[in-house]
Amino acid sequence: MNRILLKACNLSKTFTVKKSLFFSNRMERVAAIRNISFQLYQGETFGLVGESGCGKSTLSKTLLRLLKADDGEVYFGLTQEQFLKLESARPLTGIGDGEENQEYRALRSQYNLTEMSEKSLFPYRRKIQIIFQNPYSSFNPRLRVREILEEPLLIHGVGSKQDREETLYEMLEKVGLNRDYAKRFPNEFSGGQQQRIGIARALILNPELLIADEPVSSLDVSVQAQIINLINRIRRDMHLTVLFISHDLSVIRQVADRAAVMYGGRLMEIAPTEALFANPLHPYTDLLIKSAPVIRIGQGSDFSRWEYHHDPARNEVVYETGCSFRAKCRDAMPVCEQLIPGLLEVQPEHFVACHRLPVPTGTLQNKGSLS
Amino acid sequence: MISLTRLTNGTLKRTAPEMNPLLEIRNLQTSFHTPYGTGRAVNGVSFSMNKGEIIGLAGESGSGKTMTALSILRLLPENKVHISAEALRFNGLDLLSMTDEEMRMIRGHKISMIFQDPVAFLNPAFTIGQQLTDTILTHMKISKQEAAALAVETLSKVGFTAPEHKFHYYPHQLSGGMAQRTMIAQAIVTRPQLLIADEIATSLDATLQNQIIDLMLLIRQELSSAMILITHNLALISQMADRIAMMYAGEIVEIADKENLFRNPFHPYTIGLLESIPRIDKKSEFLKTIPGNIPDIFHYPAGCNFSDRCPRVMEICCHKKPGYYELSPGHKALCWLGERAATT
Repeated sequence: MNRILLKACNLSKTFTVKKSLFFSNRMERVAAIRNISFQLYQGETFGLVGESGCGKSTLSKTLLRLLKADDGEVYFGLTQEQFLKLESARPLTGIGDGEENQEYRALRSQYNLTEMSEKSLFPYRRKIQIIFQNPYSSFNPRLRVREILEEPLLIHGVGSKQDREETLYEMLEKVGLNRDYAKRFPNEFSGGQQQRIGIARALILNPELLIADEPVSSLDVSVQAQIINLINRIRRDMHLTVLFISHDLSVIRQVADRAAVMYGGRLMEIAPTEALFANPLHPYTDLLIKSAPVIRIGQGSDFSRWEYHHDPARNEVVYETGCSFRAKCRDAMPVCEQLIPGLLEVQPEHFVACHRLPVPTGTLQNKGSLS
Repeated sequence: MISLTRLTNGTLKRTAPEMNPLLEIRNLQTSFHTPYGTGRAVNGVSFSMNKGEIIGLAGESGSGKTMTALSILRLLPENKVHISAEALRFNGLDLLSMTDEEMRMIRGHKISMIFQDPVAFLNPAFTIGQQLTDTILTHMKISKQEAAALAVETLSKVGFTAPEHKFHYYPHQLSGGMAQRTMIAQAIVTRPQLLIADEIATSLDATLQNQIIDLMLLIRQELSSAMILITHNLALISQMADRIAMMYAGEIVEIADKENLFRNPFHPYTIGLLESIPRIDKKSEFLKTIPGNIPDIFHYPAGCNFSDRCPRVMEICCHKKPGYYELSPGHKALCWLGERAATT
């Protein structure tokens, strides 16, 4: 396998929201993502799929530190040696974080994006860029395309005025837009063109990792295909690593080399895309694939769909303990209510978090083994 | 209150009710007058539908699907929008010549519409039960208690558990799926003959989408209502509609029963759209696309509206509008290629 570009360990983020009562200060904690660990290899497209509200976007924002994680680590662009040093210094779980682990602590605070100072984080901002679901709302409507694209270059102090100008024209052409468009305002463009501008803005700093948060969900199918092809082409040309977030499994299938399925703030399954679709091991993945909308010409509703608990109220239950999917799972067992299933490597590179599976011989991914 | 009997037997004449289609639209045109010129959103849409039939209006955003529906219901501001048609008849009644008051008795009673964004169409200041009861009391002559009971019954029909309890919920307490179910409840409570559903499942997750599809099919079975289903999601339409009309730039470019449209698509736009859907069952290196964008409603191309994006464009397409060609019974396409297909 390739070099690991990004590694996330046990990332968690909890939001505190006010309960709806008008005059009370009752607060409630909502865990948006819980104990998420995964890694991105250089040059791959990693798909992240799940229903709305499962924490996909929170995860992407936490990786970028647009949101501050409560707990967990994010490492980016470490060399093999740095990783090995870090891993060998890492204390075994359960054996306190006492003073004997000073070396580990020092290394961790040096590399971990979630606890870095803003200043030392700054160079990383350039290397990790994001494109948003709704491009228009991410632009300042009073800036022209030229200014929108130049801003990141200015912030990071790249090149002279002339260089910047050249870079941005080059970038416009790369994403399939006319040079003249630099003079226009974002509202003069269609949705697909706006998304192209969003992509240009993300790529203008020549990042190593591109996070694409539902980049095609708001577009029509014909335009959607254009943007998917564009992202695929640019990834090859610029040797990018892409984290592609989508709720649409067919899109994930088209773009991703590996994919992770998320539910209720936890990762349920990680596998190479082909293996995930050919042999989904988690009941939730199976449900998602089976309920994906496909064109059916046969008469009426002859779906062989999953029967699962229909109570809409239970959709929103977020469990503190046990498997978060158990309310909808057809095969929930008593143990699912008590224990959080760990993400286990059931087949090579195929990780699943489900009690239903036989105890595998693989290793716990959470323990942070090096691929 | 104007009773519907007046409508059905007096002023507005009905001809041979048994033979008539439920809804008949001929050459519907909807245009906007703005300082920038006249924008034509609907450009001569014609179709008719029978009782209990589900017809799907498919097409990309901006193709005029929603405008067609809003024109049928006359829900557009009349000082800014001009609607004309050779025929726009519901149950033999001319919808365009009705007074506003007569129209109000049709809307929400005989023809109901379910909107795309349910949360935006529910009043946040009232419980869903109150809003449902209001709809019932507007259209039916029953007591408040009976109306409340009917509301609870309808809520349970659309899949609410403990409907007596949910009756007192405010819209913000509902999840997206539940809000959509509430909208559906509100639309079906009067047992309409025609339901217009505008992108009802688009904003929902796949699992919820399927629940809504099942629910709509169940409702059709129970009320035998006809439905106009507006969506850009061809997969969704394939699972529900009997007949499909593909819309592009304010026109129906192809209309056929579901089987024909998906098995033998004819119009290059239909084919392009079908090919650009990413497939879940196999990976392709390169997705097919339709280059370019939909024309804006102020500037249509001189000939066929699709001519600037069409992969099979011919000379005639660029300066002369095509007419409809009937490829097989009930399968029509608005395309010059049809001329060749029809003659050979």
